[in-house]
Amino acid sequence: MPISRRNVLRYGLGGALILAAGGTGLALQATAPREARGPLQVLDARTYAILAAVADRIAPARDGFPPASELQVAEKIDALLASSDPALGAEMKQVLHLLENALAGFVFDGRVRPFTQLPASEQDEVLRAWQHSRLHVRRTAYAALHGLCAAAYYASPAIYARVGYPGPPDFGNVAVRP
Amino acid sequence: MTGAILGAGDLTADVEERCDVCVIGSGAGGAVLAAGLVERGLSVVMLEEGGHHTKREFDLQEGTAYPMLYQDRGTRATADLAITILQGRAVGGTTVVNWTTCFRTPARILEHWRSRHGVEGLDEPTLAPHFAAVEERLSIREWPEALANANNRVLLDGCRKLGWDVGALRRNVKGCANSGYCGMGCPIDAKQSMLVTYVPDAVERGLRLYADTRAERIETKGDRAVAVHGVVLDPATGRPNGRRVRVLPKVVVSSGGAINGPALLLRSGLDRNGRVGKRTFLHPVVAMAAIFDEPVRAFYGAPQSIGSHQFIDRGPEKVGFFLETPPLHPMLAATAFKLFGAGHQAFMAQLPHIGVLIALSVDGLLDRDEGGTVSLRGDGRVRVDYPVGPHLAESFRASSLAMARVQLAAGARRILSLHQTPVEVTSEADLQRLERAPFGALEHAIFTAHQMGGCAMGADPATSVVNARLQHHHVPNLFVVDGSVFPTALGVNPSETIYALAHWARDHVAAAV
Repeated sequence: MPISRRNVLRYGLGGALILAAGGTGLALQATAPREARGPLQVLDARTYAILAAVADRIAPARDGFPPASELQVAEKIDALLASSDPALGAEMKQVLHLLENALAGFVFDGRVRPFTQLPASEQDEVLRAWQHSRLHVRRTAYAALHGLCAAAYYASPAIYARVGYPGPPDFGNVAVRP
Repeated sequence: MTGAILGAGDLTADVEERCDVCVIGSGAGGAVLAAGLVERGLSVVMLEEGGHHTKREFDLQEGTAYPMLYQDRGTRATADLAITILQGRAVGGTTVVNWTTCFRTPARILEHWRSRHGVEGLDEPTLAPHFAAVEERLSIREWPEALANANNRVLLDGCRKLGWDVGALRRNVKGCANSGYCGMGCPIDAKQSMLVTYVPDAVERGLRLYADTRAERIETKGDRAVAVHGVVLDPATGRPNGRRVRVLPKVVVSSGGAINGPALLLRSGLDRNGRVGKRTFLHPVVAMAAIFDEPVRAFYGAPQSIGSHQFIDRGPEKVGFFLETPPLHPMLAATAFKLFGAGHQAFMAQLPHIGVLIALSVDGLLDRDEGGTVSLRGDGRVRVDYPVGPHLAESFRASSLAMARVQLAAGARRILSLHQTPVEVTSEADLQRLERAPFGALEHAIFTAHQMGGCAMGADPATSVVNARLQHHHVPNLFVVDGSVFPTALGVNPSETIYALAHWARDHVAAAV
């Protein structure tokens, strides 16, 4: 008997097990590619493409806001992971695999296409389902993706004018950074 | 000894130091203590895993400050990511990035510690001269109400209209420009953090401070601590660069704060009664955002200058809370608001008109409230777990309602909670929506800026880690001097209590040499 979504919830699978399932069958599925601007340090081409797709839904091009990809949000997160404990990068890749994986998506939600191959509106539904999921591991994963993407996007001075923030005062004591 | 601050760039070979006292951590506890020890003629070596950053590096950009000055590059959180942990990591510790609010320890808390946890000898008269001394050195004074920014005025005006307790806070600043960037490192050294006060005081008298150096382990022989083993970290990656610092002291002091301190003791096998890392308290914070017709510009002006203790004591079966304010820069605001896409952008586009209040719940005072736990993961990384139980969830709900009432009274047009789906309030009638909303882990944003406990002081060696003189129950030449010794949360911002405890502890530690 196939494991239904309901059963998985009832069995209350542990977070680690669910994350581990994220890679199952993923090799057979195609991720919509994206080109990183600059060399990646922690993410690979595939996890970069998934993260960039997520970032563009958290901060899409809309109403004067540039898309996250224009502010290189996924590249900035890659750089942050490179200066963090290696375990953090490994966990982030697991989360991205789980999000992308249509097989896992099918088991839990009945979706048959990888996240990156979905139209924007359906990607939003997937993110919303994770945000409100009864599975704590999915809420946690949403928290990680939302936190990192929102932080990298809104820490960009390029966004200050759009949100009405004039930026910090200049006390004249800080060397200009490259 | 000749005093100095040495970083990874200065440490080109392994180092061995003999000294009277090795202090691990340069924050509110370690810095005040070290200054007192060198003043008494003792030789002191300090290890600090963060870097030595000064105002020339404080460019007041969130994208610079959080990775440079906060734990885990600004990403520290509980294991389930439900609670964002704001904690400093630099020479000067959290005092480099805190929002400057200072309180003496409330008498009722000292009495609770005495009666419930056997902490004898820590009363108001004993601590008074130590509070006075640190208040003098750190210029701790009331911040004039007239200088409160509009975000703090919301709290002031709203509470006054409701007839609630409210008042000006005291801050450790001198020549403050009221710019609003305390959380990113003070650009003009006006904040009297450890970085510009007790650390240089101590270095001048001979403190040798190894920055970028993580204490990995305290080595013991029998019931004596005999060495501290440190590894030097590459500032760019945060990973060990192969150099080692070995300290052979007569006395060891753990001052790494309420998360890294217990983790160090656990890594060192110094948990002989299973109490290390237990009873970790966070003053868990929930917040409410209010949108006003007039600009608030909560990104400018002293971030925290007004507070209310109206609800600090809600009766014997309830968790009390107090109200304060945060700064509101784009990144912090964006991470706290849980929507994504259009809804998130619509919120962020109103940033200059948003005022935010925070409520800090006072954990650890109810008999069955054990707070959270600090432990080690399989790979040695620190892990923080903090379950949100029904009493805390009730406090989150009550405090969210209280904040919304203040914001309505102050004239907010629209109020939004920080739930996964924000609850909107535009009138008293809408408050019932907030009453019905879910409160708990991963239901809404939760923060902590106050980490306490985990190495509790107490009379009983079976239930606490150090005695009421901050001395380890089983290793008498090991002391713990930081916020981890609090048996409960305080109900006020903790920095001044840590300063004063460290000032008081100087004689006890010196006597053990």
